[in-house]
Amino acid sequence: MSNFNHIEITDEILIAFIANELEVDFAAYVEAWIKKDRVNEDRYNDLVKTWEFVGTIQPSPVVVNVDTAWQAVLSKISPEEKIIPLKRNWRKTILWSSAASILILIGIFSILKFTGVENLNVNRFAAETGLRDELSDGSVIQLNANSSLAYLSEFEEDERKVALKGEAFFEITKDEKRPFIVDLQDELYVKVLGTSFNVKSIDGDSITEVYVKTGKVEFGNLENKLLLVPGEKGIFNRTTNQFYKETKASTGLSELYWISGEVKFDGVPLNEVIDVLNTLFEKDSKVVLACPDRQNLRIVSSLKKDQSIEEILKVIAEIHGFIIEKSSVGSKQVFTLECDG
Amino acid sequence: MSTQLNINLADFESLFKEHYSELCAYANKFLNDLSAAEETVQALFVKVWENRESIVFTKSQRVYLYSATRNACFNQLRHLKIREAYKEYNQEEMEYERSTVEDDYQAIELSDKIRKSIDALPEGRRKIFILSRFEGMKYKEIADELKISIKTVEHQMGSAIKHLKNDLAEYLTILIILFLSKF
Repeated sequence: MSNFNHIEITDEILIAFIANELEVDFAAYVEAWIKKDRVNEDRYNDLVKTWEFVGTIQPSPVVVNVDTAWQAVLSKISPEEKIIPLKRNWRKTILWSSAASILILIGIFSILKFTGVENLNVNRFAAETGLRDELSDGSVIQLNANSSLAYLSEFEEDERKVALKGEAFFEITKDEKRPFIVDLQDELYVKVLGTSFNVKSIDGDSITEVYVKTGKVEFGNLENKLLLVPGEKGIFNRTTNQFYKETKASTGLSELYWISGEVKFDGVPLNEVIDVLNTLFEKDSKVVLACPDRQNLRIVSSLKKDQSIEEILKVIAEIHGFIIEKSSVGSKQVFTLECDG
Repeated sequence: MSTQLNINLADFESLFKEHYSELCAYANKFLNDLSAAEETVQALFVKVWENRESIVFTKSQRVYLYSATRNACFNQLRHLKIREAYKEYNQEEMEYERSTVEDDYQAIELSDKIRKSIDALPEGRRKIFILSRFEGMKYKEIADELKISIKTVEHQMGSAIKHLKNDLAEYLTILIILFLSKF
């Protein structure tokens, strides 16, 4: 028995003991450990009491998949009823119809190994932007540079699961009975029942991001989950092991740039516009606002395809009366917006 | 006080998602068959949606749903009566029919705190805990079923019991007092 001495007795071990899951000799060691000390015994008794008390629940809980069940109910409700609620509520109606098209963005850093990813028999790798791949269910995936995707050539009956490293845009064929799941590292996942979304990854980043443009998305791991609605960005920070939401006027703008090549600022505060531009042109440019009292200025402007950072800044400066000072730090061009007068 | 179920689809979805799993658990108690229980509860919700203009609640929505689930289950069991399979349900059904949904509901309400604590567990962890505690599955079986490692099951069970212990702490104290007062 003494060979167990180095093992710290945790709640995990005690509950395995209570559930009768331990090997005989280790169980005997744990039993002796419990009897050895009053403190140990109290700790054990607390867990037994919890285990027993939980067992008194009426009725016994069952494991059901609420999302799948909801889809089954939905499919039995006639289509007219889906579109026209009893009390016409346009906001909800629009929200509902948009659930058909889902656009989300996710930042991840490597293929995860949660549920049998090693069994996925198709592996695609894109060295350059633009590899398009059609899945067995008709869904189309576009991979960005340095990205790879693994999946089954034929999906399972109850779910469609892929694992991704890098960045990709998904247009998912709607299949109410089979949720589409993107598995991420560290047991993170993204689950959608609708149809189109985008996944983004930055190597070495501690942040995983899911941006929802339309529809509803579940983003989580074994421990926690976020339910995201349009306009929300869910963020998982690996360092702090926390999920949180971001909803700013600019949320989603820089995330969608790689697909559309455009960004439309529609009344976004100037400081957020600058953040977006600094993210998009991170490699070679930096924008600084020299008059902070104007940071909340609402900007309506677009960064069009192939337009440079200088071009959009010139437009903003002209409309709002800024002067642009150009300088450089290292290899970066710095644009300082100064107040006119 | 009675209220009309004047509901739109989004609210209906919330109603469904809030009560689906507890109603399945309740139906499973009568039917002893989880997939039959799920079908029954789903059919019930389809009916609720179709009749949403005419349904009037005299009590809470939840009591209504429980009561409707119970009735739907008894209808199912009566169908089974024709079949041989019914025999084993017979005794149980007689007992249940004598009791009322109010009797059941009292027990259900008493368990609400435990149910909420279990429901507060993240999906994966809750699944693992229920399979172990209520379905008597071994860690190895759970690991195989969910395609995860036994280590993960152990870890999740540890985290689950820790959460439940803390969350139910005040009730556990009361429980001891109740036990002691018996002597």
